[in-house]
Amino acid sequence: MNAQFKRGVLEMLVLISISEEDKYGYELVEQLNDVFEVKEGTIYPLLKRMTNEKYCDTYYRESNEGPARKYYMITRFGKERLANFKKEWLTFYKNVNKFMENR
Amino acid sequence: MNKSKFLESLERELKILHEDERKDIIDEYSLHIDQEIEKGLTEEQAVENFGNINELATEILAAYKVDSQIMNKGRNIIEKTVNAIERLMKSVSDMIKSLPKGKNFGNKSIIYVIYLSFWGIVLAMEIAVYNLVGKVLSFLLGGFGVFILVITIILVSILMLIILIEITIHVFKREK
Repeated sequence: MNAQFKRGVLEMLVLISISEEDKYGYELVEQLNDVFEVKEGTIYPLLKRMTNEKYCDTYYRESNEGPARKYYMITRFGKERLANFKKEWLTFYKNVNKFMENR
Repeated sequence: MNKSKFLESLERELKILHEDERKDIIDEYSLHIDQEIEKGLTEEQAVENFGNINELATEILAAYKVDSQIMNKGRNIIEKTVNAIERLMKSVSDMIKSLPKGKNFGNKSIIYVIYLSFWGIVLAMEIAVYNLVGKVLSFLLGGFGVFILVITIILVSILMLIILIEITIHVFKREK
Protein backbone atom coordinates (compact mmCIF):
# COMPACT_ATOMS: atom_id res chain seq x y z
CA MET A 1 0.00 0.00 0.00
CA ASN A 2 1.18 3.52 -0.75
CA ALA A 3 2.96 4.84 2.34
CA GLN A 4 1.38 8.30 2.23
CA PHE A 5 -2.08 6.84 1.85
CA LYS A 6 -1.51 4.31 4.59
CA ARG A 7 -0.34 7.02 6.92
CA GLY A 8 -3.46 9.07 6.28
CA VAL A 9 -5.72 6.11 6.99
CA LEU A 10 -3.64 5.21 10.02
CA GLU A 11 -4.06 8.69 11.42
CA MET A 12 -7.81 8.39 11.01
CA LEU A 13 -7.86 5.03 12.77
CA VAL A 14 -5.78 6.41 15.65
CA LEU A 15 -8.17 9.34 16.00
CA ILE A 16 -11.18 6.98 16.01
CA SER A 17 -9.54 4.74 18.59
CA ILE A 18 -8.58 7.49 21.03
CA SER A 19 -11.89 9.24 20.56
CA GLU A 20 -13.56 6.19 22.11
CA GLU A 21 -11.14 5.81 24.96
CA ASP A 22 -7.71 7.14 25.99
CA LYS A 23 -5.02 4.65 24.99
CA TYR A 24 -1.33 4.08 25.52
CA GLY A 25 1.06 3.27 22.69
CA TYR A 26 1.18 -0.47 23.12
CA GLU A 27 -2.62 -0.77 23.14
CA LEU A 28 -2.86 1.27 19.96
CA VAL A 29 -0.28 -0.83 18.14
CA GLU A 30 -2.11 -4.02 19.15
CA GLN A 31 -5.49 -2.69 18.10
CA LEU A 32 -4.34 -1.29 14.76
CA ASN A 33 -2.53 -4.50 13.93
CA ASP A 34 -5.98 -6.11 13.66
CA VAL A 35 -6.73 -3.83 10.70
CA PHE A 36 -3.44 -4.05 8.82
CA GLU A 37 0.14 -4.77 9.63
CA VAL A 38 1.62 -1.73 11.24
CA LYS A 39 5.05 -1.31 12.73
CA GLU A 40 5.98 0.45 15.95
CA GLY A 41 8.38 2.49 13.87
CA THR A 42 5.37 3.96 12.05
CA ILE A 43 2.92 4.38 14.91
CA TYR A 44 5.11 6.10 17.48
CA PRO A 45 6.44 8.84 15.17
CA LEU A 46 2.88 9.35 13.95
CA LEU A 47 1.66 9.77 17.53
CA LYS A 48 4.48 12.23 18.11
CA ARG A 49 3.49 14.26 15.07
CA MET A 50 -0.20 14.21 16.02
CA THR A 51 0.71 15.38 19.53
CA ASN A 52 2.91 18.17 18.20
CA GLU A 53 0.12 19.23 15.87
CA LYS A 54 -2.32 19.23 18.81
CA TYR A 55 -4.68 16.59 17.44
CA CYS A 56 -4.06 14.66 20.63
CA ASP A 57 -2.66 15.32 24.06
CA THR A 58 -0.75 13.08 26.44
CA TYR A 59 -0.66 12.43 30.16
CA TYR A 60 0.84 9.83 32.46
CA ARG A 61 -1.22 7.37 34.42
CA GLU A 62 0.07 4.90 37.00
CA SER A 63 -0.34 1.23 36.17
CA ASN A 64 -0.45 -1.79 38.46
CA GLU A 65 2.27 -3.46 36.46
CA GLY A 66 5.45 -1.43 36.12
CA PRO A 67 6.03 2.28 35.57
CA ALA A 68 3.47 4.95 34.60
CA ARG A 69 2.19 4.76 31.04
CA LYS A 70 1.81 7.59 28.60
CA TYR A 71 -1.80 7.90 27.46
CA TYR A 72 -3.06 9.62 24.36
CA MET A 73 -6.34 11.53 24.37
CA ILE A 74 -8.09 13.29 21.53
CA THR A 75 -8.38 17.10 21.57
CA ARG A 76 -11.20 19.26 20.24
CA PHE A 77 -8.97 20.02 17.29
CA GLY A 78 -8.46 16.28 16.76
CA LYS A 79 -12.21 15.68 16.78
CA GLU A 80 -12.66 18.27 14.05
CA ARG A 81 -9.96 16.60 12.01
CA LEU A 82 -11.58 13.22 12.50
CA ALA A 83 -14.93 14.55 11.30
CA ASN A 84 -13.25 15.89 8.14
CA PHE A 85 -11.34 12.65 7.66
CA LYS A 86 -14.52 10.59 7.90
CA LYS A 87 -16.27 12.74 5.34
CA GLU A 88 -13.33 12.49 2.93
CA TRP A 89 -13.01 8.78 3.49
CA LEU A 90 -16.69 8.08 2.79
CA THR A 91 -16.61 10.09 -0.41
CA PHE A 92 -13.46 8.32 -1.50
CA TYR A 93 -14.87 4.92 -0.62
CA LYS A 94 -18.16 5.58 -2.46
CA ASN A 95 -16.37 6.82 -5.57
CA VAL A 96 -14.03 3.84 -5.70
CA ASN A 97 -16.94 1.43 -5.29
CA LYS A 98 -18.99 3.15 -7.96
CA PHE A 99 -16.03 2.99 -10.31
CA MET A 100 -15.61 -0.72 -9.68
CA GLU A 101 -19.27 -1.58 -10.05
CA ASN A 102 -19.50 0.20 -13.39
CA ARG A 103 -16.89 -2.10 -14.94
CA MET B 1 20.33 -5.68 18.37
CA ASN B 2 19.41 -5.70 22.04
CA LYS B 3 17.22 -3.19 23.81
CA SER B 4 19.86 -1.04 25.50
CA LYS B 5 21.93 -0.78 22.34
CA PHE B 6 18.85 0.19 20.33
CA LEU B 7 17.79 2.86 22.81
CA GLU B 8 21.32 4.20 23.05
CA SER B 9 21.69 4.62 19.29
CA LEU B 10 18.23 6.13 19.00
CA GLU B 11 19.03 8.63 21.70
CA ARG B 12 22.19 9.59 19.83
CA GLU B 13 20.20 10.14 16.63
CA LEU B 14 17.76 12.40 18.47
CA LYS B 15 20.45 14.60 20.00
CA ILE B 16 18.95 17.73 18.50
CA LEU B 17 15.79 17.36 20.59
CA HIS B 18 15.44 18.80 24.07
CA GLU B 19 16.54 16.39 26.79
CA ASP B 20 13.04 16.08 28.27
CA GLU B 21 11.53 15.27 24.89
CA ARG B 22 14.21 12.71 24.20
CA LYS B 23 13.78 11.05 27.58
CA ASP B 24 10.02 10.96 27.07
CA ILE B 25 10.45 9.11 23.77
CA ILE B 26 13.09 6.71 25.07
CA ASP B 27 11.02 5.86 28.18
CA GLU B 28 7.93 5.19 26.09
CA TYR B 29 9.78 2.94 23.64
CA SER B 30 11.56 1.16 26.48
CA LEU B 31 8.25 0.37 28.16
CA HIS B 32 6.81 -0.83 24.88
CA ILE B 33 9.71 -3.23 24.36
CA ASP B 34 9.30 -4.51 27.94
CA GLN B 35 5.65 -5.25 27.26
CA GLU B 36 6.50 -7.09 24.06
CA ILE B 37 9.01 -9.20 25.97
CA GLU B 38 6.36 -10.00 28.59
CA LYS B 39 4.14 -11.17 25.75
CA GLY B 40 6.81 -13.66 24.73
CA LEU B 41 8.84 -11.85 22.10
CA THR B 42 12.61 -11.86 22.37
CA GLU B 43 14.43 -8.57 22.91
CA GLU B 44 15.74 -8.69 19.34
CA GLN B 45 12.29 -9.27 17.84
CA ALA B 46 10.77 -6.44 19.87
CA VAL B 47 13.51 -4.09 18.71
CA GLU B 48 13.14 -5.20 15.09
CA ASN B 49 9.51 -4.07 15.09
CA PHE B 50 10.74 -0.49 15.31
CA GLY B 51 12.49 -0.94 11.98
CA ASN B 52 15.66 0.76 10.84
CA ILE B 53 16.96 3.25 13.43
CA ASN B 54 17.89 5.94 10.91
CA GLU B 55 14.46 5.83 9.30
CA LEU B 56 12.81 5.84 12.70
CA ALA B 57 14.83 8.86 13.83
CA THR B 58 14.07 10.65 10.54
CA GLU B 59 10.35 10.03 11.09
CA ILE B 60 10.48 11.24 14.68
CA LEU B 61 12.43 14.36 13.76
CA ALA B 62 9.99 15.02 10.91
CA ALA B 63 7.29 15.21 13.59
CA TYR B 64 9.19 18.21 14.94
CA LYS B 65 9.61 19.61 11.43
CA VAL B 66 13.31 18.83 11.60
CA ASP B 67 14.69 17.70 8.27
CA SER B 68 17.45 15.24 9.08
CA GLN B 69 18.72 15.39 5.51
CA ILE B 70 19.41 19.09 5.82
CA MET B 71 21.06 18.41 9.17
CA ASN B 72 23.29 15.84 7.50
CA LYS B 73 24.06 18.29 4.73
CA GLY B 74 25.19 20.84 7.30
CA ARG B 75 27.36 18.20 8.93
CA ASN B 76 28.83 17.33 5.52
CA ILE B 77 29.71 20.93 4.76
CA ILE B 78 31.55 21.24 8.06
CA GLU B 79 33.36 17.95 7.45
CA LYS B 80 34.34 19.00 3.93
CA THR B 81 35.67 22.34 5.17
CA VAL B 82 37.70 20.66 7.88
CA ASN B 83 39.05 18.15 5.35
CA ALA B 84 39.98 20.94 2.94
CA ILE B 85 41.87 22.79 5.65
CA GLU B 86 43.65 19.58 6.64
CA ARG B 87 44.62 18.93 3.04
CA LEU B 88 45.91 22.47 2.70
CA MET B 89 47.98 22.17 5.87
CA LYS B 90 49.34 18.85 4.68
CA SER B 91 50.30 20.16 1.26
CA VAL B 92 52.06 23.14 2.85
CA SER B 93 54.00 20.88 5.19
CA ASP B 94 54.76 18.49 2.29
CA MET B 95 56.07 21.41 0.30
CA ILE B 96 58.33 22.45 3.14
CA LYS B 97 59.54 18.89 3.64
CA SER B 98 60.36 18.60 -0.05
CA LEU B 99 62.52 21.71 0.00
CA PRO B 100 66.09 20.92 -1.04
CA LYS B 101 68.56 20.64 1.81
CA GLY B 102 71.67 22.75 2.20
CA LYS B 103 70.32 25.88 0.56
CA ASN B 104 69.97 28.00 3.63
CA PHE B 105 69.38 31.19 1.82
CA GLY B 106 66.68 29.65 -0.39
CA ASN B 107 64.83 28.15 2.55
CA LYS B 108 64.93 31.31 4.55
CA SER B 109 63.59 33.42 1.73
CA ILE B 110 60.77 30.94 1.21
CA ILE B 111 59.91 31.22 4.89
CA TYR B 112 59.99 34.94 4.48
CA VAL B 113 57.54 34.75 1.57
CA ILE B 114 55.24 32.40 3.46
CA TYR B 115 55.45 34.65 6.48
CA LEU B 116 54.53 37.72 4.51
CA SER B 117 51.71 36.05 2.62
CA PHE B 118 50.32 34.65 5.87
CA TRP B 119 50.15 38.09 7.38
CA GLY B 120 48.78 39.44 4.14
CA ILE B 121 45.95 36.93 4.32
CA VAL B 122 45.37 37.63 8.00
CA LEU B 123 45.28 41.34 7.40
CA ALA B 124 42.91 41.03 4.45
CA MET B 125 40.66 38.72 6.45
CA GLU B 126 40.66 41.07 9.38
CA ILE B 127 39.72 44.05 7.28
CA ALA B 128 36.95 42.10 5.57
CA VAL B 129 35.64 40.62 8.81
CA TYR B 130 35.85 43.93 10.60
CA ASN B 131 33.93 45.68 7.85
CA LEU B 132 31.18 43.11 7.58
CA VAL B 133 30.78 41.66 11.03
CA GLY B 134 31.89 44.79 12.86
CA LYS B 135 29.02 46.80 11.45
CA VAL B 136 26.46 44.15 12.36
CA LEU B 137 27.90 43.58 15.82
CA SER B 138 28.25 47.22 16.68
CA PHE B 139 24.68 47.73 15.53
CA LEU B 140 23.43 44.83 17.65
CA LEU B 141 25.65 45.06 20.71
CA GLY B 142 27.21 48.51 20.54
CA GLY B 143 30.75 48.94 21.87
CA PHE B 144 30.72 45.48 23.39
CA GLY B 145 30.31 43.85 19.96
CA VAL B 146 33.36 45.67 18.62
CA PHE B 147 35.28 44.62 21.72
CA ILE B 148 34.42 40.93 21.09
CA LEU B 149 35.42 41.26 17.45
CA VAL B 150 38.79 42.82 18.29
CA ILE B 151 39.49 40.08 20.84
CA THR B 152 38.56 37.41 18.27
CA ILE B 153 40.83 38.96 15.66
CA ILE B 154 43.71 39.12 18.12
CA LEU B 155 43.17 35.45 19.03
CA VAL B 156 43.07 34.43 15.35
CA SER B 157 46.26 36.40 14.72
CA ILE B 158 48.01 34.71 17.63
CA LEU B 159 46.86 31.33 16.32
CA MET B 160 48.22 32.10 12.86
CA LEU B 161 51.49 33.25 14.41
CA ILE B 162 51.80 30.00 16.37
CA ILE B 163 51.21 27.96 13.18
CA LEU B 164 53.86 30.03 11.40
CA ILE B 165 56.37 29.56 14.21
CA GLU B 166 55.74 25.80 14.08
CA ILE B 167 56.47 25.76 10.36
CA THR B 168 59.59 27.89 10.82
CA ILE B 169 60.90 25.59 13.55
CA HIS B 170 60.18 22.63 11.32
CA VAL B 171 62.20 24.07 8.46
CA PHE B 172 65.12 25.00 10.70
CA LYS B 173 65.15 21.50 12.19
CA ARG B 174 65.44 20.09 8.69
CA GLU B 175 68.33 22.36 7.91
CA LYS B 176 70.38 21.17 10.88
